[in-house]
Amino acid sequence: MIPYTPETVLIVDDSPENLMVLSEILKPFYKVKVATGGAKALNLIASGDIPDLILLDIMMPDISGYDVCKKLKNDPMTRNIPIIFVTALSDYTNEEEGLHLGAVDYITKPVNSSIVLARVNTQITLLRNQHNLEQKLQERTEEIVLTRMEVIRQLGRAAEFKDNETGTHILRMSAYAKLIAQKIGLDNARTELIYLSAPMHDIGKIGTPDAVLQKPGPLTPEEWEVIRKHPKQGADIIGNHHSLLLQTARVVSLTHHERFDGTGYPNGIKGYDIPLAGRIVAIADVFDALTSKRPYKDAWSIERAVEYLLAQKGKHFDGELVDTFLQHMDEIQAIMMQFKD
Amino acid sequence: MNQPLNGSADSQKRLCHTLKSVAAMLGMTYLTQLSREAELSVHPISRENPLIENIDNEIERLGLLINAMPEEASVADSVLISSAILDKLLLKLRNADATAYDDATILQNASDKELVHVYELIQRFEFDEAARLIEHLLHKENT
Repeated sequence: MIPYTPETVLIVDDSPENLMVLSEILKPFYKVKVATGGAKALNLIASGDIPDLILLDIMMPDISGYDVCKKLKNDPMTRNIPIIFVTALSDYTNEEEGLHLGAVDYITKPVNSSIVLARVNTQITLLRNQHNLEQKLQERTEEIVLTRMEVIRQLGRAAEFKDNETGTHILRMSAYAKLIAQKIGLDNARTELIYLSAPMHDIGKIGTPDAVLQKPGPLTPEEWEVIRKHPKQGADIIGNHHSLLLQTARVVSLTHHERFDGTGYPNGIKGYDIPLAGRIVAIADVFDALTSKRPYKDAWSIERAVEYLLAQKGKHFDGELVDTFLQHMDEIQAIMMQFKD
Repeated sequence: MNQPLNGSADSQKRLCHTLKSVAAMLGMTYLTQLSREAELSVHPISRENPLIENIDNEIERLGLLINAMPEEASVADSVLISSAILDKLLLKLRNADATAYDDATILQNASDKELVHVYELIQRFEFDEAARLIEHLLHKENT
C-alpha cells in the first residue's frame, strides 16, 4: 500500500494572527505552509514548492491576492492549484471579481473553523477524485499516451535535425528535465508535463534558415539576431491552446534561453519571473549540450560540465535547481548510458 | 481535558494534536503517547473514556513534578538547544512549514537572547528572517 501523505495547504496572509488561526485549524489534517505576503508565496511556489490548495488573503501590502491569483493562473504549472480567497471584504463585487479570476471559493473573516475545514475538505476531496480519474484514464488510454509522446519526440527531433544534433539529445535532455522536476518534489502530473514538453524546446529552429543554423564559422551579430528569434518562433508554432501540455511546451520554448540574472533572451526576464519549466529545461538542455560531441566541439567531461553549472548558479541558472540536479549524479550517469549517441 | 470535550469533534482532535506536539517537544514521552492515541481515536471522545482519565492523571503527575522543582531552574533553561534542533527548525522555516510555529516554543525561555528573538520572529511568522538569524547563529557556533 502506498503510504498516505496529507495534501499541502498554503496559507497566505499578512496578519500573523490570521496565519495562526487558520494554520491551527488545518494542521491536524493537512501539511500546512505559510507565507506573510504575496511575494513570499509566489517565490515559494516558483522554487518548485507547489501546494495542493491555497488560502489567499486579498488585501496585502506588497502584492494583492488578486494579482497573486492572476500570476498563478497564467503559468500552466500552477494554473490548476485551487485558490480559496479568505478576506474581510464581503461585498458582492469582490466575491465576483475573485471567482472571475479563477478562485474556487470564498471565505469571509472572521473565520469559523468548521466552515474553513468544510470548504477545504470539499476542495481536497475534489482534487483526490480528479487524481484518481486521471490515473484511471491514463491506464485506459496507454496507447494514445505513448503515441502522443512519440509524436512529440519526433517533432522535437525535426528541429534538432536542422541543428546538427542527434535524436538522443532530445531523449537525454528530457530525462534530465524529468529528473530535476521529480527531485524538487513536483507531483507526477506536473513532472510529466515537463518531461513531455521538454523535447519541443527548440521547435522554433524549424523557422531558422539553415544558412545560419549550420554555418561552420562564427556568427555575425545579425545572424545572432536571427538565432535569438527561435524561442518566440517556437511559441508561435505551438500556438495558444487550452491543452496544459501545449501551454507548458509554449512556456518552455519561449523561456529556455532566459537566464536567471536577466541577461538571456528573448525577453531578458530574470529570477523567479522565469517560469519553473523554463528554468528546469535550461539546465537540462545546456548540460546535455556540454557533455555531447558536436561538429564544432568535443564532449566535455562530466566534471567540467558540473564545474560550469556550479559557476553559473545565479547567473545563467537557478542555483537551487542546479544543486538538486547535481545531487543525483548516479541517475544522470544512468541516463547518459541509456541514451548514448 | 474537560473543557474542550464540550467542543466539536474537530476542535477535540486539534487539542489532542497540540497537546501531543507540546508534550513531545518537552520530552514528556508518556503524555505524548497518550495524546497521540487520543488524536487517532474516533471523535468525539466520551468523557468516560479511560484514555481521558489517563491523560488527566499524567498531566497532574507532571504538574506535581514541575512544582517540586527549584524555582530558579526553569524547565526551558534546562533544555539544551542543540545545533541539531536548530538545523531541524531551519529546514522547516525554509520550507515555510507551519509546524515551525509549534517547534519554536522550545526557544521561548532560552537563556540566549538571540534565540528568544528567533522565537518572536517565528511567532510573527517572519520565517525568512528567523531562518537568516539561525543560520547566523549556527555559523557563529561553527567558527
